[in-house]
Amino acid sequence: MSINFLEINNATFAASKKNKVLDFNLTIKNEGDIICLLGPSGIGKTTILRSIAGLQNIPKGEIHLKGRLLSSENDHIEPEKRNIALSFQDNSLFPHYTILENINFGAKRNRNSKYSFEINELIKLLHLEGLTEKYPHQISAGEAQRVSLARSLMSKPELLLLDEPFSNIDQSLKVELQQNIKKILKEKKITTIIVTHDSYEAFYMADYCGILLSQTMKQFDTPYNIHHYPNSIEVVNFLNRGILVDAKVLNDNSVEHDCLGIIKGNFVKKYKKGTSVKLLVQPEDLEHDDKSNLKLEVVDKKFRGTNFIYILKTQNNDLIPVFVHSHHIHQHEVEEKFGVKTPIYIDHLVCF
Amino acid sequence: MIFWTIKFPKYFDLTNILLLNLNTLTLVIFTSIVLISFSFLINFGNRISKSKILNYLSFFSISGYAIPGVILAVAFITFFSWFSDFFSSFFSTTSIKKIFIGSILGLIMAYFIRFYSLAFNGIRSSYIKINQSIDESSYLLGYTKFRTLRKIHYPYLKNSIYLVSILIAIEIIKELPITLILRPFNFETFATKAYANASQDLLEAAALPSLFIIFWSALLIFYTSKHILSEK
Repeated sequence: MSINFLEINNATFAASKKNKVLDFNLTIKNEGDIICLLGPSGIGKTTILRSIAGLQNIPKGEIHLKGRLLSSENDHIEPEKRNIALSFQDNSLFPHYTILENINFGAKRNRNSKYSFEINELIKLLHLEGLTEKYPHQISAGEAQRVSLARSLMSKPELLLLDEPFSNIDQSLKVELQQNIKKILKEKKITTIIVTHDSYEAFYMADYCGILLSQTMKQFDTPYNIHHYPNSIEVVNFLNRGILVDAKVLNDNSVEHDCLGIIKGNFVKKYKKGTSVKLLVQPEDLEHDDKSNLKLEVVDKKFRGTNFIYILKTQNNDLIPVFVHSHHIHQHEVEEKFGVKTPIYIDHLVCF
Repeated sequence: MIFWTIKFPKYFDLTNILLLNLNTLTLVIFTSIVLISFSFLINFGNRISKSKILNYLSFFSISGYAIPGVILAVAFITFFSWFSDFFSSFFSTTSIKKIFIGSILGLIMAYFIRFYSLAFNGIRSSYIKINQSIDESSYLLGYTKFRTLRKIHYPYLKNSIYLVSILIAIEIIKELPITLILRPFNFETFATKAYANASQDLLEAAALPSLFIIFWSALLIFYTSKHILSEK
């Protein structure tokens, strides 16, 4: 049996007496995988990273890296001996060293590492040109975050932990940086755990996503499955992309909704005929069709640049979101009627 | 005082002045080294360990600054006399109070108690400005706690260490009661010399040592404002 790269078994992470993550399990099988932990603020995501890095003890459970025990109830390897880098969310650059010296600070570590970076390559990749001779107090928060990332990468860790790495970076640069970072992490096969509350960021960066809700990991899966096959109502509510409507199971491949009518698709789980379920309807599930007989009232319209999200109200007061391409000429205003194409077909029916 | 010094040149004795300088500087240098290194290490210990006892102890130990020098010196003598008697009642050695009372070592120890809070708080106030996550970053980049002390804390605190040493130096140069009571026989500093002369109404003779106190203090303050406080 091959050894898992990282294994966390039944661990409890405690930031304070009240704020805890319980019975946390995480296995990273392959070196080079990128894991994203998603969850609302204050759930303990940062505490998990701090504990993996060795800055905090764990009261219960075990953490193994490449088969080596790092932390348990009784054992604790000091952070400097773990070969794990953590890039903090807030600015933690050394104030009396220049940016260049900061980036180079950990460079002498791990001379035998499988990979290495040219400092100029990193500076270019993270757009830090022109900052190298400055001091940390002379640069912006977003720049400091990139410097911190570069510093962590230069130390060539076995495991890289990033705490909200793009939170202070402006939107246009963020997309480019995400691409650059993902590319180098994959090229150099650097196993990474990223903590974020931005699900788009997580879906783009990650091979696997973990959803942390109410003190525990609710779901751990590929980003596609997290979005399309959420395993609990809490996960649906957290991702907040769709809504749950009451429906009744008709047969093996359809349900009936009072207002939307018969909805066809493939069930993710099997249900008996006649069972009342809550069906997940995501914005991309319904299609706009002006000629359709099924007309619903528009209660809100959100312009998202590439698309509109219309919020439609059914007779039984469900508020259903629908995506419409932003170039669509025929726009509907609030209180107007909006046609929905029937029969409705949803590829996978997620019910609870 | 300059006028008196010039008017009564018979009180100007070069050897004596050099000796006074040497005595005072010896005290200043040794005490500063001991005080600074000790408070730096205790601050560092407080930072890396979460031990509450160490915290309470360090806060108890800074109370020395509140005690007047005379009381401290008398308490120092009383304690070591008792300790010495206690010690010799167990081991039949000669009295050990000579090591502490009327010696440079004793003087430095008393200064240490008196000025520890100055050094400790001076360094502490800069230390707490270093965010904890900076230490943590250093550990995560593979630096041990002592290398973090050397590479991160020390360069950051260098200026405040200089500043605190200068404050201590000024305090010691002009400290009278402790020096007067605990000094070795015939050991004079500027402060004791000026006091001795002034108490005999020899104000002219007291002028030169007093001038030297002012000279050294002014020099140190000038250096501070020129090189340390003006740095960005």
